[in-house]
Amino acid sequence: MDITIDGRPLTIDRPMSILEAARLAGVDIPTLCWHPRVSILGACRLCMIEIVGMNRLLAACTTRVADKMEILTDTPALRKVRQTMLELLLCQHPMDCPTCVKGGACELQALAYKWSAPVNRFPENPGAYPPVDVSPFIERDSRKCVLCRRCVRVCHEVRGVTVLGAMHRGHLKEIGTYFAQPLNRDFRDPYNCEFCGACIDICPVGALNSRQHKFRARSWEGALVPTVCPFCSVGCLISLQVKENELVQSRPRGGLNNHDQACFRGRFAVDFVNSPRRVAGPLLRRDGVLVPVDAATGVAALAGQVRPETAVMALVSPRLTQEETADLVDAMAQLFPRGDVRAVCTMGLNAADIPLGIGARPWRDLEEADLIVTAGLDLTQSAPVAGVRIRTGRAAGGGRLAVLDARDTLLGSEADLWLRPAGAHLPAVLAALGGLLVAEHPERLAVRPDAALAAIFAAAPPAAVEAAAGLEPGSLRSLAAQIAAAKTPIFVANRGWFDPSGQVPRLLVEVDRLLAGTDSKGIVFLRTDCNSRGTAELVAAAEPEIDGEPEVLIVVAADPLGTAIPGSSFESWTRSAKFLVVVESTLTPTAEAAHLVLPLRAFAEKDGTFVAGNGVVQHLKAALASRATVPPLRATLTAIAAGLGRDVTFDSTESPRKPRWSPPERPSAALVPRAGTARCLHLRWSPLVDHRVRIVPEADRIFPGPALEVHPGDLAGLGLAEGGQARITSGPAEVTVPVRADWRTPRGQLYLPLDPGDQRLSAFVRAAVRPEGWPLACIELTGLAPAAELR
Amino acid sequence: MSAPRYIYRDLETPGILHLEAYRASGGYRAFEKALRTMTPADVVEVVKASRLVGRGGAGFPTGLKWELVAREPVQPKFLVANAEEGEPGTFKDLPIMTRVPHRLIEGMLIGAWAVGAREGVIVCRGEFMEPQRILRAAIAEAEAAGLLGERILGTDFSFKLWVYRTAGAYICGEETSLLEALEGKPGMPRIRPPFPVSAGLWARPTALNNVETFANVPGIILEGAAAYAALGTEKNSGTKGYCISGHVNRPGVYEIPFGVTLRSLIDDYAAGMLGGRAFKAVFPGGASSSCLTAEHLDLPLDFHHVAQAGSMLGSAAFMVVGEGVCMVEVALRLARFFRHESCGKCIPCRDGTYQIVRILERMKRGEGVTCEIDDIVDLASVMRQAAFCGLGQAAPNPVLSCIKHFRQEFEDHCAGKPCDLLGGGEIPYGHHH
Repeated sequence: MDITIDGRPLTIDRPMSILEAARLAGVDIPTLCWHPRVSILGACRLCMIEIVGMNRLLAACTTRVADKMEILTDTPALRKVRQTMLELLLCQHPMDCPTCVKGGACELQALAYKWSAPVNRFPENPGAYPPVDVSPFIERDSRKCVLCRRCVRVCHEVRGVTVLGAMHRGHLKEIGTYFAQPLNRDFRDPYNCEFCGACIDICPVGALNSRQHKFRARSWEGALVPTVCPFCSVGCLISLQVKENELVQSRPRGGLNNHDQACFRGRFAVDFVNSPRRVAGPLLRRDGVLVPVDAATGVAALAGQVRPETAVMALVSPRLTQEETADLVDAMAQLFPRGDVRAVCTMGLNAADIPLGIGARPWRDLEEADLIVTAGLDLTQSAPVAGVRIRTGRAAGGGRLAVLDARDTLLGSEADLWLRPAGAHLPAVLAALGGLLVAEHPERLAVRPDAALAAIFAAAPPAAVEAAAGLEPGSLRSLAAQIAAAKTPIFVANRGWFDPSGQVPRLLVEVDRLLAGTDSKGIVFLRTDCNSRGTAELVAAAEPEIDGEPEVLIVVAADPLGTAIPGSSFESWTRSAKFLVVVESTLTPTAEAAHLVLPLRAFAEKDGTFVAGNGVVQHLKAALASRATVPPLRATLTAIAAGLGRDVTFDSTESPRKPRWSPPERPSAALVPRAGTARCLHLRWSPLVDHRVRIVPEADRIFPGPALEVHPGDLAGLGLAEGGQARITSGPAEVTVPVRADWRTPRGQLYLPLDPGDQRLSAFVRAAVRPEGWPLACIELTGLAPAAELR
Repeated sequence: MSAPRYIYRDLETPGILHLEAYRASGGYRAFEKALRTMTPADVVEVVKASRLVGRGGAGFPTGLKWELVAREPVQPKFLVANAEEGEPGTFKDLPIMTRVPHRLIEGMLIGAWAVGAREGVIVCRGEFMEPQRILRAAIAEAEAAGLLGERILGTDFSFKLWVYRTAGAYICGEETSLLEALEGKPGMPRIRPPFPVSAGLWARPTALNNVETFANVPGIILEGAAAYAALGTEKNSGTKGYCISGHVNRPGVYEIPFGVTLRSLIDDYAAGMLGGRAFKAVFPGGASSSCLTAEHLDLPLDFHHVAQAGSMLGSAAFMVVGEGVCMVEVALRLARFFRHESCGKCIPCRDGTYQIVRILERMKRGEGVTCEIDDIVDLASVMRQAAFCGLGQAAPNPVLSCIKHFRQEFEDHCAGKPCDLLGGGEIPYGHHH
């Protein structure tokens, strides 16, 4: 199509709007309600254009280009329209630009500067709404709203949260929340905000603001440092605004992995770097209390515990950069004849236990698959941006979605097929699914199962599994049929359920291999930590040096007491070590139990490399200068070496540590739980919450502590009451927790979220796990009156 | 005054509300004729030849619309009757729905046969409780008689008809907003294209017509296109339900062929001006039309001629204003209506209607400034050009035309002169936001 824009000839090779064509041609048409990430609305009328030969004006965003169009974008009539639109907005807008958070970054300011006429024919109106709706993190100011509905569209279309909506009509229209509920409620409530902050980013004016950011800095002040989010393995790119060496705010930036999106953690929880609960210098336990000491004293205390034959182990979390982990591996090998490095996930297993072959796919494949099968709990809450990618891909291309998630979360409610197997039965469900594929869709298989796998499948007869897991009879058969019919099925899994031996990823590997052969990698595994993948590659090659328990344990950036599986070796090593050293940036439960705490730079204070879950290598940039008492990890290791009277060389350029693809372990048999009448308690990990989130001010208002989650309709039958307490006993284990009527929990199932750092729950789980292992704790449940009434 | 009737035919026949009397007076014969002796394409051809145009106000040729929907190769398709009748001064569809509901059903059956729809909806505005009850009862009668539902009259043709009640908003008379409301969403206009003929209800091809349009069809099928086309003017064929209200002696709705003059409508049908007072102005197409004055009394009333006179026939809702009425008050009342009914989507309509009311309220109180009259004119011209949908584009019409024809009254108000005209001195609603 040949067109002209303001006389400039332009050839267009695909259908597009006039606005897109103008942007291609470099012609500036003003817009306010238009945004590339959301659908077209056509409400602001600023992008009106003229077409020669047509006697009316058209909106450039809603009009498609046609051949031979002669488009005019700047005529007296159009200027008049734009001036009037801006005049109508500005005459009702509170002119508090000097103190507005958005000042300098406000699209209305910029539009007014360029396009508006310096007149105001209409009397000023201060606005009719109560000024603010304050939640702990997001502040809404309806008076400044220009009703472009970009926030509503991003909330509905991209995030799927649907908490914001346009209320009323005409001049009384305002952006509100459903049922006028405030945002400051428990994030698990229905129709509530997930505090992703996408509405803040997309708001053109100061109507939606970050409370953390407010009055900390003007938009143009300080530096904007591009870096990587330090939480989950999706690998969102963020920018940190820093003023006077303080982190002012974090905002997502356009990235291969995250498409401008972030979640609560990447936007608000990174504020932990400003927390007064940071570790500011070495702490040494004296008379049972951690007291500040100088670095030399701290290192000497460690050196005093180490003899040549001492078994020393380092636990490294995948929150360290590649460079730091490499240095640690180097130092351990050189300093301690009996030294060993293990990697521990924030939640759950040894990072290396999850085979490297899993999760190597680009996130882009989530958008292009013809069938996505998710197996996990709370996928959209534990890795929100991965959920966004799945949703936007479906909206654009229309692939099918099957969800295996007991809890009522976004993806489940939007899925083509949603099965809600009780959490602990997920491995059995996957085994039954594999069996069905083998039995009913042999033509679809690339390889046949060997005898061991066939035995595992045989141990999970579909009908029995469906009955035990609370699924409709035949539902697994229809899921198997959908998988068999798909050309490129992708399995997405996360670590939401309580799966101590990693059965779910292992079974997924087997099912995927049946469908696509040995080299298939049709799995996306959403790990819990930013550098899980990179860490696993570095430490997988290290052979274990220590059998049995370490005497000295050096925990680096990990929190085994808070987040390791209760009863796991990581946790018991931490409890039993004669000398526990914790190198950490915040005072975690593990750090509080340590003999020696050494400071560690947080993600915002160091350069380095993270490998995202999909294998994309991304660079961390130091945004803040850390205190003199908080050295880089390499300096800490050098100081430890000096304390031992030794030298250590760090050789980052010629690393002997090659990434190694370790074939996954086979899943174990005996998956099918014994069906019985005993009441089962399903454990899950709290999504979104780790120690760094907990220390962010006011986070506890929206992420309250753990409670027994019961469907509201089941409360009475169990003798429980909302707001009351429940005593859970399982053999010798006992714990009393609050009861929460939770609409996300399916009927007939009971969930207990494991919250990092809740030592009572850890103790309960340690005592409740049977010798044959979890999946199931058969429990007794006793309803108790609310605490107040007990007194 | 005894013109042939199409929409209100047999309106006075006792019991015509019910199927028995309706059939006894020839009801459903047109549908049977279409179903048994005509192909869908034949029906479309007859409707095209009758030159029937949509009676909702836009005047789109009905036969062409049906042809476009019939041509869409997909199923399901839908047939929707717009029974919102929200334009102030309009009450032409009400007699059809409440007194001969079967004529609407028959018209829709013929339409469904023509376009190939198997499901239809009558979208009624929320306030129309009684019409909905009557329509539902009539649908039940027709279903019981095998005229609606599966395998109608023993043929392979099936058509299921529903009544849907919207929340009652003026904007829902606009076709895409009506479809949004029908899908359970807030009534706000959609981006067009795509047009409803290709992507309407649930993004399926949808023939959406006014109740009056459907009511014309049985007579056209029965008596042929030529008889219908012979009525009316060169530009607009057939008859029209003219609503007349305001300062006339016999307000009401009259079915008259297009082309009757304004003078005849007032004097011959509405029995002249109320109390013999002089004629001052008329809004011929309801609240969204520009007013006409005495110079237009001999205008033949059809879509074409009224448009040429600078207004629009719309739904033919003639609101007559007699001498002695304050036109600032008239403008203010109509402006308030649009402020209330703007859906709030686009800036010019949402904020433009709001500012016009604010200025007019100040003028009403004698606090206006003369130059603000031009501010209204200026703002109104931008609204006409830039508003998203017809509501916002038409919203300033009544105010603009009042200013155009009666500017002196606005200037007098601005100058603080006491206004002794009807409604001029008082503010009938309290000053509210």
